[in-house]
Amino acid sequence: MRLALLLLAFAGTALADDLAPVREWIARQNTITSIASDFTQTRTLRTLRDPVVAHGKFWFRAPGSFRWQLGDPPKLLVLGDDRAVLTIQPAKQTAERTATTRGFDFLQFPFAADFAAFQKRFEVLSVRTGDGRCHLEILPREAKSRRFLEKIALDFDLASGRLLGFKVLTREGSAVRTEFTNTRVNVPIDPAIFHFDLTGYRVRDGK
Amino acid sequence: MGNKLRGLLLGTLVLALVAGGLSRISFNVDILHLLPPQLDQVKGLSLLLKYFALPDELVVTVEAADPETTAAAADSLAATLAAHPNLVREVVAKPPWEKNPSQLGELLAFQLLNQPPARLATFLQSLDPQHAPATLRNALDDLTDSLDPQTVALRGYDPYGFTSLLPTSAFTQTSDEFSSTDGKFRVIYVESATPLGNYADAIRWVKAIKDIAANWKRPAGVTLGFTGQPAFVADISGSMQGEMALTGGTTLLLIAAIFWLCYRRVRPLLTLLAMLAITFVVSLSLAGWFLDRLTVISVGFASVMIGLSVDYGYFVFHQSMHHAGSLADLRRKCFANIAWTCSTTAAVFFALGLSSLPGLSQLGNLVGIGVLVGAAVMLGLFASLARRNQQHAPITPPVPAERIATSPTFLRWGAWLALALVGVLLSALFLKGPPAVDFSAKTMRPRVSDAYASMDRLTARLGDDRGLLNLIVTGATPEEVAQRLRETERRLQTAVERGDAASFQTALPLWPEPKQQRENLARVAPFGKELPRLHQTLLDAGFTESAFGLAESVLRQWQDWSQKPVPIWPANEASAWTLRRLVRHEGAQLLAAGLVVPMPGHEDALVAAVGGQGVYLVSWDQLGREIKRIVPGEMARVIAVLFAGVVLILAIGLRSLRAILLFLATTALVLACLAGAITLLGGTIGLFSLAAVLLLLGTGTDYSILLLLAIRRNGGDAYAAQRTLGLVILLCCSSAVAGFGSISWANNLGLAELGRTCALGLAIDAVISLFLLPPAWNLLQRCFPGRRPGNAP
Repeated sequence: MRLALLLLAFAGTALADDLAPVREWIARQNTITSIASDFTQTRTLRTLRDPVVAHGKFWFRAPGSFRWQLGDPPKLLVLGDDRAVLTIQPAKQTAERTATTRGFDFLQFPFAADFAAFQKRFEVLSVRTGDGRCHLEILPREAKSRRFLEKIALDFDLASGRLLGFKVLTREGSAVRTEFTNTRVNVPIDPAIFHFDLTGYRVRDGK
Repeated sequence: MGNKLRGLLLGTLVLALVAGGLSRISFNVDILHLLPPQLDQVKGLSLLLKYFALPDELVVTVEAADPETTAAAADSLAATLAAHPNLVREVVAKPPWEKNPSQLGELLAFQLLNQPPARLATFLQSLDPQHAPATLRNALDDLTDSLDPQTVALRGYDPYGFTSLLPTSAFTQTSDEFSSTDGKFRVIYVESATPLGNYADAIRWVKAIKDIAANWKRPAGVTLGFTGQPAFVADISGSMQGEMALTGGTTLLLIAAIFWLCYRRVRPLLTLLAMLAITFVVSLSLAGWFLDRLTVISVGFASVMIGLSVDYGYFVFHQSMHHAGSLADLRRKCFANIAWTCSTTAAVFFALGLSSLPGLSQLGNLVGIGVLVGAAVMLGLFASLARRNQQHAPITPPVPAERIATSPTFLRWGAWLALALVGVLLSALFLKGPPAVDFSAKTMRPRVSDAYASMDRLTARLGDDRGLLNLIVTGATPEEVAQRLRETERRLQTAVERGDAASFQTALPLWPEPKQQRENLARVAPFGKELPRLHQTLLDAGFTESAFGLAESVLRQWQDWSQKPVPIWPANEASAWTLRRLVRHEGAQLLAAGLVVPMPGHEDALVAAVGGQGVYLVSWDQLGREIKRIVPGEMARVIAVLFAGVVLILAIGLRSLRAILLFLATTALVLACLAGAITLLGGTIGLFSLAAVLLLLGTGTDYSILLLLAIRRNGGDAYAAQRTLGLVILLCCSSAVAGFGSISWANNLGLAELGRTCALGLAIDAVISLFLLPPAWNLLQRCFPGRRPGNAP
């Protein structure tokens, strides 16, 4: 999911058919002020006979607020800013507060200062273009992630730079495919979206 | 013929004894063996090193500029090493469960067996036919919704929720044993095919592994490091062997140079060196028979012993120059003097044997043996050879060096220079202050060691554990260890709440609870028969075969254990790897380990609050603090007693208050100048500097005592005494300084500190005693002329 948020942030920027457009796309991250999108996530796990599917919505507003919502009414909510992340389970009336210093820090835009910074974090495995879209395969450079991840495949619309979807493949053989629809960039977003009344909730500090 | 046969037999016997003793020599590289064993920190760290340091496991580090190259290099090197089964039992470059995840089932089954029976019973209810489908529906919901990759991975392979009974920390890896976060630093663990019985085995094996690594096709930019217990043993033992030879050889060379300068004769010089070699070999063989394994400090014995024993040789040779009688007369003439000085020196060194510092105690015993052997060799063998030499190629006294040493100009200039030296050293002491104090464990480390350097690098790259405290809990039975672990966890929790500790982790989750195991085994055993039902329910819920692996392995493990006696210990490869640094249960000794993160500045309070019978909270920093707290006081008491003894003997021998006061003043001045010299050279005062003071009181004070005795013999004529003893003191001091000085460059920093302090102290003592004590005596005579010179001192 964290990766989904990151990749969605690239949706409104340009993507071309080689590394130069990727470089340009990352350079234009500064233009993002907000994002709103729907998504469908399909988890194909080795331990499940059939894939499981979940639907949700995502909002982002500069300089660092976001909301990731699974189900409608929400089964699971993640609210974040540049200081903390709150994971809320409305059905159980529980919430967990986590420091943002690790794991969620890539949600602060611009994600990468430049293409060099992007490359410092990700190894680009391949770039293919065709049918008006770009297929980019990357792998995080961090050793811990590489131990579990096979690759991350992203699909962008070449004309609009919109992120169509991405797929995370693990070495263990499972895959999580997230597809975005109805993506809107730099649209006004109600600040209330990023708040949640926790009255009556059991809140604990996560690690 | 009979005598010859007897001689031959005796010679063979002596040679056999010497060879036997030498063959028994072995080294102990553990610096903890240099420290008082009764200290809690020493006890705890010794247990940590003995049971958790893994003596047969070499740690190979692989480092490169990028993670891909590093990973490929580590895999390739691991495969190369694994291809030598005659040398290597196992090479581990990745956690064993990555290769075979099902092995984790055993450890999980074990941990669940240790849970409170009521808790496990509640969980088992979720597996019964009424609840199992709902349990799996919950798992499916988690797999659909969860954002946490760990939860998704865990629930997929554990839909029945066996792992939910354990704390999350059981699955959260706080540090990676195999790779740095950036992947540019990797670690391979290499276990020897056979146990490394002694230091020679360790040296050979580590060399063989290094040779394989050297011949391996190393990718460009990849650097390797070798550390771990076998590397430490190989590194330190190797340097000990070399240093004993090097420092001993250096001392011999310096002594030879001194002898040559004085007497300019090759034959007696070679004879004297041969005598010293015999003394060394015989002493070492006696050490082999009577002493435990030699510590790094004992390496210095060769130099110290040679430096002291040669004095008897000088004395015998000097007497032989002035002797015209029989050999028996010469021996008689030398015996009284040598017996007196040798027995007092040996007594002082044997007194070190009573020290609570085992390293120092062993050094004292070795040197004590050495000077006794040296005296016997010089009187027994060298006296005869020196007399024969004097008969064949006589030396007519006084020799040139004697003439120089007794000349008024030399003594006058010596006095002025000595005064200037004292002035400089005292000024340094007063202006720069006393030397800094350092009792940390690093003062006992080797100066240069690849194994230490690689370990420092590994610590820096895989997670800095400096400042952490190691917890060691021991006990006679598993129940006792478990009880102590629970009590320790309670104390640690209180310490966290009080603000003394930030966090802690103990081996309690991995320690068997026999009573609970017994009760739980009876409860879980029937579930073996439920396997087909649980399997089918899982498939019906939409899961695949892969999702049943963990549950199946736990249930089968429980079934296997149901007929076994408690306590049950997990034993497969993955369990052994997890437990290797946390739990030991071989033989009679049962140990559990842990780690505690203290709040800075609260370490002492934490150690005091948590430590107890069979419970040690230790670190190398804490060891330094404990040494600083306890040892100096103990050492001061030993020094005070020894000094009081010396003063008492002098009081009886000299029967002069003035001489006693002068002796006390000289000793105080020597110690003050020594402190000034250490300050001036930027040195520190540590454990071994204090030991050096002890040695100085035993050997260095001889110079002032000899002078005071000579003044008495010369009826109060201090300058006559000075002329008589000038050459003797210079020779003895030079050889002793050569002996101690040669170990100033020893690889072990503690030994080097001992050598440097002793060499400095002896030189200062000789200079002050020889050049300043006689004028001081005369000054006192002039200021207080009431005493009759003939009776003084």
